[in-house]
Amino acid sequence: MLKYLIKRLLQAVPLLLLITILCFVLIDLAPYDAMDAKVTDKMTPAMIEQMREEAGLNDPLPVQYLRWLKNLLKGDLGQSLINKTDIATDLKEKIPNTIKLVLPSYITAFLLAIGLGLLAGRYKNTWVDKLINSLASIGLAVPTFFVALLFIYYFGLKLDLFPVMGMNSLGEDSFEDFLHHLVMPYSVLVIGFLPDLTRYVRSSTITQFDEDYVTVQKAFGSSAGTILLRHVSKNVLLPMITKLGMALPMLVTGAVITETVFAWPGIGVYFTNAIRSLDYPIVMAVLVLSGTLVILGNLISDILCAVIDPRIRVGR
Amino acid sequence: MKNRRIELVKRKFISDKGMWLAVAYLLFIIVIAVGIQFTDLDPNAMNLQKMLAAPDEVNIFGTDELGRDYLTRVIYGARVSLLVGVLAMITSVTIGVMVGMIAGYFGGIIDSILMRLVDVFCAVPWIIMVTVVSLLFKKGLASIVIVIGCFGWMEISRLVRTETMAAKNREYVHYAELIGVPKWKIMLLHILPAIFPTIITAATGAIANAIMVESSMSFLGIGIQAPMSSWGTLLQMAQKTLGKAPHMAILPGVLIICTICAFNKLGDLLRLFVEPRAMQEGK
Repeated sequence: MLKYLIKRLLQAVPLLLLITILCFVLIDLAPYDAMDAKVTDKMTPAMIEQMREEAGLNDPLPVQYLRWLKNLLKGDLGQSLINKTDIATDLKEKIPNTIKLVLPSYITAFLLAIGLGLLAGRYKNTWVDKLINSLASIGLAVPTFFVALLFIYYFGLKLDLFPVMGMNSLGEDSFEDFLHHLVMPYSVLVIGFLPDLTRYVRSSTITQFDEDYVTVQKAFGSSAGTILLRHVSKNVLLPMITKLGMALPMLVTGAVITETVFAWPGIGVYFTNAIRSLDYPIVMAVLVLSGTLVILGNLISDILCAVIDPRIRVGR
Repeated sequence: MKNRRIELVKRKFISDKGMWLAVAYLLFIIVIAVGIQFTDLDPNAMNLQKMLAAPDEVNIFGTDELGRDYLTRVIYGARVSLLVGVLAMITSVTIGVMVGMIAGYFGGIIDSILMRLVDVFCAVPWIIMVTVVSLLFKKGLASIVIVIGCFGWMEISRLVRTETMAAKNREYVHYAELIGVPKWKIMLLHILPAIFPTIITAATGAIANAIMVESSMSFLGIGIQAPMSSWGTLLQMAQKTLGKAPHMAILPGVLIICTICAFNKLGDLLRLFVEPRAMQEGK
């Protein structure tokens, strides 16, 4: 087990490095650089050149990359070009806000999907299955921002049930106020996450029902309900754990669109604002962060699977 | 074998009403989108007396913030959305097929390197990647096509790689190698036709995906820019006037959903041809 763990960890390191290189090169290719944002009309070309020299922008690219990587490893993500704030501090403030929105939505969608998927898979080809499956198919085609617009119009503007913007009312700090703001973006995200997960559970349920052990259980006279709950569900849930690990990066970047529509003060809005104002250090920080989380998520789900399913450990 | 598959697809096509609907819808929308330029409807004709008007007899879907007929604008938007969808699909299918075929056919170290590359591309969420890369290009139709195309090829390349690995072990491929046919010729003439159905299936999915990505980008303001408009930009405008003119949000949104659904449905039909066993599972 330990050997497997170490092997997987070692595989992740070069991938991470590659991602940082990719990010760095991408940003370097961009038509403007960090200095262009600081330059004002009053500066002479000589002054600009001196500033570039001081910021190290005239060094060769590999040197710049290594310096940036060194700072990154120390946890120093640099400063925002526009607000001059420390990015690491900003992230510490924004990430919890995004997690507060995404975590409950994903868990709700996850549990609902397991329920609906098992139900649809169990009653394959009946009206229950057809209803769930076609709703999921349509759901896959619905853009999140469209659902958000409909919700804002009906529940926000027309019925005036929920606030349409932000995480708290101005000056209000209570938990109730937060929940009140949470309802709409939360529901939109649940609708966004649900279809894909449901289809996944449904198809693995159907595959499991074709397995030999189900036939054996039937031969022993087990009822369909027992087979579903005691045998099939266990085998369906195993790959779902993998999905859970892979969802880790969503905690940070899973709600960019929803956050933007509802002006939720999380990482998504922070990122889109940085993009609009060409605030490169922030863009790089978010890029690296999300890439790291994807790799970490894959790693965690592999390890979880190996812990739960001995076949994977022995097989390699 | 082939005939049986075609038979299967035909039967499915005739029996499934949803399939009929999807194909009819796609044909309809394409005809309208292409046909609109032969009419004298002008998407930019303003009528400042009639801004943000609700639907009536003259403007069946109302007017926008400059009093332009909304239906005309949505149809012109369809042209952009569909065009970006198709062109981005061609880009990502081309990259995906090339990478997948080379990786699958040569195997070994080339395969490892290319597949690591795919892993890296997959490791950053598309929305982040697409947004960042859109910074590198001047805003315009071509750059959006490139950006979307460059980030939609990974799944296709994985699929093509698997298919290629199966196809390269067929006897006729071995025979061609034996008599000294050049490798590129084998890939082009013997392997490509064998995996063609898979490519077509992936392509319909890629169109649906590209339309979704384009509309999301445009909605965030980093996609199609004015004066051009797609369904995504129309929805972005609609958000600003949601309180005064809710009718503007409905039409583009519904069209996005229907179009993506229809392409997905078409993909299901074609998948039936590629792997007939999916019939029993899906239905």
